[in-house]
Amino acid sequence: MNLLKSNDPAPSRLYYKINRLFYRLWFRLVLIIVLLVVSILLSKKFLYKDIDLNAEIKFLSEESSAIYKDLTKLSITRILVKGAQESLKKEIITLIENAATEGFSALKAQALREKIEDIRKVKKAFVKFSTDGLVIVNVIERKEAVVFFNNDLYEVLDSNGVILFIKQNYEGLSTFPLLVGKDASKNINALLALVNEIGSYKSEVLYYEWVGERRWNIHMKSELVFKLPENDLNKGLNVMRMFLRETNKLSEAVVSVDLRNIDKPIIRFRKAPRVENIGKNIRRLAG
Amino acid sequence: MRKLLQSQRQLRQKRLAAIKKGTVALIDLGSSKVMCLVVSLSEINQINSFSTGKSDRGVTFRVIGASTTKSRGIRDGEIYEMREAESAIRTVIQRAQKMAGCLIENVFLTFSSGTQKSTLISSSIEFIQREVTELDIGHALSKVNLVYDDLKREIIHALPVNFSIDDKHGYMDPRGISGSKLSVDVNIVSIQSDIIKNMVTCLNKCDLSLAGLALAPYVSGQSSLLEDEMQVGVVCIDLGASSSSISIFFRKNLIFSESIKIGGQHITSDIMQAFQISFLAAERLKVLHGGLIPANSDDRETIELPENNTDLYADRRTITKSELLGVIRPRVEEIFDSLRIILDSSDFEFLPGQKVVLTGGGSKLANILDFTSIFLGKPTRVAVPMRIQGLPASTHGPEAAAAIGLALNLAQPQDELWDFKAPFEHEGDELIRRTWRWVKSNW
Repeated sequence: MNLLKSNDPAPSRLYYKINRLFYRLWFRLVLIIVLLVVSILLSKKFLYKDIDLNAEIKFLSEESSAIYKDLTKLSITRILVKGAQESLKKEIITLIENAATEGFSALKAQALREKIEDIRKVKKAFVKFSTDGLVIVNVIERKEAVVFFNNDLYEVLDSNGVILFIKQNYEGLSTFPLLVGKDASKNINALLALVNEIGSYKSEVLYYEWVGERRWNIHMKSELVFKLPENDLNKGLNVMRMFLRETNKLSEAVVSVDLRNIDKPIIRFRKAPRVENIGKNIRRLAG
Repeated sequence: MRKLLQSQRQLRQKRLAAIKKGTVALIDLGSSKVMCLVVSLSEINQINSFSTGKSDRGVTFRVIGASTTKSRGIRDGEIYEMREAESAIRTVIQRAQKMAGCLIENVFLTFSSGTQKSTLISSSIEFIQREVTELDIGHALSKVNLVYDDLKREIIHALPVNFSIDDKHGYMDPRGISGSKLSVDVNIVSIQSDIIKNMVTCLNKCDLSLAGLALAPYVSGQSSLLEDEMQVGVVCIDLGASSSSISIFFRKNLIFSESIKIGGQHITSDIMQAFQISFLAAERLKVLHGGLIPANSDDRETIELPENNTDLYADRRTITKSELLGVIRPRVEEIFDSLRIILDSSDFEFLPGQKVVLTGGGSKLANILDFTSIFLGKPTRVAVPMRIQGLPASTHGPEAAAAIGLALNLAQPQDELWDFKAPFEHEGDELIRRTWRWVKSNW
């Protein structure tokens, strides 16, 4: 019994009850909430006694809306478009200016980039905003590669077969190879390779015809037609080049060179005029 | 009878609910100290009961909190000052709660009372020759005559200690044995009802709920006695501060229990009066220099008495050890004399085992072992309670026997009268209950 102290302090009833309550989770939560509220009220009372909470909240909400307002009216001082021709540049600048009037969300770089890339002539676009209101747009433009004659219209395509614009006549498009035939627009790359192989003779070509969705016919301005083989295209092109080089003026008498079977080329000549008709003509000329 | 069964079963329900919650506190409300153990419980599969309606699951436990404080407001195992007793309970509960780190809501209480009384009552039923069933046991137990001479008493324990079938005695579990007459001996342990009422009030004031009750002599025996001793017969003497109790165990059952209102505090009080010193000084003198067997050197061995006054010039008083022994021994003799009278009246001498086991704080007195064996003429040992998991070493002594025994009793309670169904309980609602059981099993 000597272990027991005569003056063992007994907890008061209140302290004992509070101590027991502290083991309950709900009590701790309530206490934390009460303490937080009390500390907020005390700090308001003593530390920030001049602050009117209602006024503060009102001020903050007004401030935030003012900031948002400014953001929606973001002014664009200058637009710099790089890597595009003049016509495309104008189109892009107009688009950005229109977007600036639409609202703040339309002026996000991502949204603007997508809008610019929707223009047919634009392959890829990069948009950058600077803080002083400058918008820099870097553009990779699609280049006209071929003219595809389709439904009596002239479609100008790029190397990927994307239609850049459509014209009703052939004026001003003579620099591009003319392409005809069903689904020919799907073989632009093959055509460009073919044109490259033809080399200096490409100026003599009237148009390129994609036949039966499998091979090419090349129509010359002299009405001569080269029917190229399906498989040995290079061999056929070699024969064609050789033919043009060797025959030169004589080729006018030839209607077509059939190279479909490259081992057995067939050359078809124009039909010769009848002797009587020649005589008639000479007489007429002689008067 | 019906009222008793209902009230005790309510307590049993509370006990089960407390065990389900997982943490309970065990309080030993003694006259010199109040001890609290907080135990964490977990259920295990263990069949230790044969009564109907009782859980087939045992309980394992681990002590997670312990505290002891000086007792206040309690005398002779009764609350004399409610506020003081309440503050003592608050002290131990708060400390144990802090150590365990959890909230204590349910409390199991043990105490020793000078008013406790043990009565062995027999009852029997007769039936046509057949196997005994649980219903027969319940029927026999319901026939026990629980009419007292004193109506102000409350039954704490009603332990069926012996079953007899057709004049053959010593059955522990009579189920399945054929016979035509079943007799049962029930040990009824009761105390004055006011004591319990006061204790419940005191616990309620501390925001605690009483979930179980056991008397200290019974649970002290459970923690201090060996199984063999309990089987052949043993008497456990719990030497408390204000009361000393006897409990006799036979065939692992408590068959007799009685207490007297003299204890260790009376010895201290005698020393205090004899040498005119403070109570604490007397207690210290008893613990450090006290003894019971005189020796030749006792006349020469002097003990300096602690003085209360601060006069440095006053002569310090000294006493010899034989003088101290001369004060202690007569009181101890008185205690053991009273205990021997009770022991003689209990027919303990007819039991095969004649061992005496001492427990409680008073058993720490020097030479008490030799003294008891000479005085009672029986082999004696001082028991240290069973070691339980998690108990701090400082609280593991004979004075903690009751608290430890309560923990053991909580884990494996013995079947009591109210654990069996009485036949009158089957009359009204049994048909509905049977129908409900049938619907449940055949759903």
